[in-house]
Amino acid sequence: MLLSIFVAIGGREVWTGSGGKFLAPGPYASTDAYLAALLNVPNASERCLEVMSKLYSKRTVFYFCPPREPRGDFVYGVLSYLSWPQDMRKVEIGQAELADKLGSIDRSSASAFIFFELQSPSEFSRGLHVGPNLSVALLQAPQ
Amino acid sequence: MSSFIATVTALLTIFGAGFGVTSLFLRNVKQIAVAELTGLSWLLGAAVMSLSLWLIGMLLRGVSLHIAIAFIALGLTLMGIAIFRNRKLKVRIPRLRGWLEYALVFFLCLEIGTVLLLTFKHTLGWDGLLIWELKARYAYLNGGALPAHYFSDAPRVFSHPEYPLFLPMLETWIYFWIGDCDQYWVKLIFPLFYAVGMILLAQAGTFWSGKRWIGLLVANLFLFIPFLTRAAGGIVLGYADVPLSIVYLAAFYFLSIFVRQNSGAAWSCFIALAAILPWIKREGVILWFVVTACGAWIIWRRRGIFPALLSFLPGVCVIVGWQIYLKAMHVSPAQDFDSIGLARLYANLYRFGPVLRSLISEAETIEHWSLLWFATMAAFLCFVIRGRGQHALMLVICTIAPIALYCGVYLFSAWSDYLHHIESSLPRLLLHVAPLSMLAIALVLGLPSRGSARQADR
Repeated sequence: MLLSIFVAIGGREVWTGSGGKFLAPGPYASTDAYLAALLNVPNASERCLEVMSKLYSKRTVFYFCPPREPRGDFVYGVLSYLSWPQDMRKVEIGQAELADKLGSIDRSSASAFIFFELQSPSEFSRGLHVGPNLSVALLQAPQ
Repeated sequence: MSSFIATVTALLTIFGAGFGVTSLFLRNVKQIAVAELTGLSWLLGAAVMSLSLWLIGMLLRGVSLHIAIAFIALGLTLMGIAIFRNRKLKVRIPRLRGWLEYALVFFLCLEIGTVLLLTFKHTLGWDGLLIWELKARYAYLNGGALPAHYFSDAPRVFSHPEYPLFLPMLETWIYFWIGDCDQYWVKLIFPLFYAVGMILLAQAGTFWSGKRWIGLLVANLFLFIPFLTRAAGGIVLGYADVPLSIVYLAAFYFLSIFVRQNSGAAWSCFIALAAILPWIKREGVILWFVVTACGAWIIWRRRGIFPALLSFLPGVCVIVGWQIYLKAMHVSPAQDFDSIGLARLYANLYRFGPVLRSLISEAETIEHWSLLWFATMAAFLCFVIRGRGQHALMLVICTIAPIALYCGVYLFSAWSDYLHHIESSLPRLLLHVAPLSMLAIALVLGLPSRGSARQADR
């Protein structure tokens, strides 16, 4: 009796978990799936790699996202994963304090600013974009 | 070579290396059960390959490292074949009896196929991607060894550089064969762990209950633990927890063979498997300690103090070796826990109640565990009532002691919200002993028949 209930409950959970599409095969199957959900961009890993390849330098890439935002954490994690060995720093900051924070950063130590779900200041409006939520402002000529 | 064929080749080399090591350990036995041979070949092969890649990766990089490890795998495979031929070892394939056993084998194959399909329906989870696969990717991009500056890279501390490299090195091995990082095909490792785990669970369940259908039944039931396929830490998301639980089951199984048959081969397998545990995940140290302490107690009574102490040695070497490596790489210590001491214990004693409540609440979560822990408690109660002796006591200790120690460690959590720490990690820790709880159920199912397991207890 106990085992029948065990199978019934477990079977229901396995069944409900088996829905959905199969992953598309590819070297970035997982990061693509995550970034498609977070950035609304298909094949976003390749796009991010292409953008990050323009940033590679000994200087730091600063990543800005709203505070206590799991989506921001995850995008940072994936970008950090893809951008190795680029040095990256995450800065959690609200829209209101963003301009002051940018002013306090020594630009000579930075190669780029990345903004996730934050409106980048007008001086960076001509940056690169990966979907509507992520923009990249290069501070030095691409290499 | 397509990525799929390359992945399968990499997996076969792991099996081959494990086959060699297994043959070495079991060279003095007359017959080897096919389940034991398969399980040991995969688990020991995975350990040998990941350890070799880590150690030799300190000296060689790139193609030379790939070739060196491939030669080790080939050498071990040939050694295994030679041992089999020279010693005339025979593989025992069990004969199924009755429609029930055939049906259970059929369903078990179906379940393994289901796990394979589910694996390719889910992405790698957070830890699967950003803790385990991340290291494999960085190692591959660096010629097979993690770059030294990764370990002291503060912004990437989220990826826990201090975690051991069992899984990342296995994944790197696959990347070597594919010739690139591949988040898709690398997931094939995990259904393999599941398949091997279920073969071993069926074998262990048969051994413990004395009836093959019961062993096959509990292996069939394992998939019905919802946590296995639905939650972070499950088999389809690429976490290390299921491989850890499978190796723990295997170590316990060979310990129980040693206890019952006093077999030297089983003793060697038990010690080797236990020593792998700390190499898979940090929590493996606790599992290693519990199962080795149990084993050492029995070895002490049968063979004296020196062999008992010796059984700790391989595990200690793995733990100390890894710590020395981390020190050499200047890894900052993990910030999750305060230093363990009496003063801290006394100060945090108030956490005992909330930790226990969290544990009970998690065990009662039907969406994670179905009725597993209720059935396990019922099984333990049955042991007490029926007086199952030393073997059952060993099973109870190896199931409950790791959970007790895990909970005890939360008394030293450095998280500002220690309850959040518990919520985010405890469910995965329970998975480590889930296969053993299945064995407890198998033992109870075998009780009314007065099977061979009970006779052996007397």
